[in-house]
Amino acid sequence: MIDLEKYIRSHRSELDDIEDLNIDEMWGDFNEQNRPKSKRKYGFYLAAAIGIILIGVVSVLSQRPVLNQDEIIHEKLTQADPRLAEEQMGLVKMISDQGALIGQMGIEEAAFPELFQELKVLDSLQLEAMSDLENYQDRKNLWKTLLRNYKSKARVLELMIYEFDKKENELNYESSKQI
Amino acid sequence: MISKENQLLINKSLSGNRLAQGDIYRKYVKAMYHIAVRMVVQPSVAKDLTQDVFVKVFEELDRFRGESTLGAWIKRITINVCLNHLRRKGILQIDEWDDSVLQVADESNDMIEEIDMKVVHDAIKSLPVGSRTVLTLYLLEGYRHNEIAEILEISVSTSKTQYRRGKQLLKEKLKSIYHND
Repeated sequence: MIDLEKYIRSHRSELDDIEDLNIDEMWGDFNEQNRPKSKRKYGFYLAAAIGIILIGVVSVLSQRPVLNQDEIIHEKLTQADPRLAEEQMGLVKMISDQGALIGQMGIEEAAFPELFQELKVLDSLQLEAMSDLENYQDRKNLWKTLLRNYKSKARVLELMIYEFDKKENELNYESSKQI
Repeated sequence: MISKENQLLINKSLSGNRLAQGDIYRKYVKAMYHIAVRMVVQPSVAKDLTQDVFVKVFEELDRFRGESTLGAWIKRITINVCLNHLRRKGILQIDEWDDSVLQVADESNDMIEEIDMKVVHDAIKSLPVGSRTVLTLYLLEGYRHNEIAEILEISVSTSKTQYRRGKQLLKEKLKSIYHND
């Protein structure tokens, strides 16, 4: 003879695995049901990924104007915290000026592959943070992440200019020695 | 209360990481579906409600404070979603039950030695909604009668009598199944 209550309690965990459930299919359906949000997100990622390639490499070299993603971020930051929005615009301008300078100096990706790779990573991090901003506009840590990414990008560009200058100076010194 | 693994999944999910959300979903969906199907009975409805649960989970994850385990938090959402569904459909009507109608036979434990839990699961699903809900909350999900009374807006004594009734009906169903075999 068994005590039904005790028996059921001691076998409780078995009750979570009785019926067949196609979890992958359910997860697929779940994603499908939430398509507007997800699609927008992944569509955005796709568009942005193409943008990264053009932005991260080409714009730095060819002095492209301020990026659309910066304007989007600025708009959102202005709504959330005008002080941060102002800081962001300052960083965007700095990055734009650095990009222009790099273009004028004729720096190519082949010269600094690691730094260019880091720029790409930073751009993808920025896109990820932007995507989060879509969903969590009230999250202060995300705004800080966005600004941190800008600062990191500015530092990488600064390093690139510095290293290029250093190389140029070394070359000039070597050639002057030969003369 | 939160394991390192879950904390990591929560953090990633909060930053919109779909893979982490998928991990949370896969980890808990089966248990939540089984709670739902015992409460609403129809599998298709239970599946829909389970999906609603996880929409809510990911929407409200930033409100999870870690005061309970993540599983317990999701379970509470599941129960609320199911109860709201039953209320919306006008199904969840729990009558005050006269304890005297319960038969004395209830207290006997002349059950067989071992029961297949699938049989228990199906038998619970076949109970009337009132006693099924109370029995599920009390016996399976660990709620106390005063908590059940508050959730279902019934008296504590009604919760207790509905539970006894549910248990009695469950025993009768199990006996009839096993004695017929």
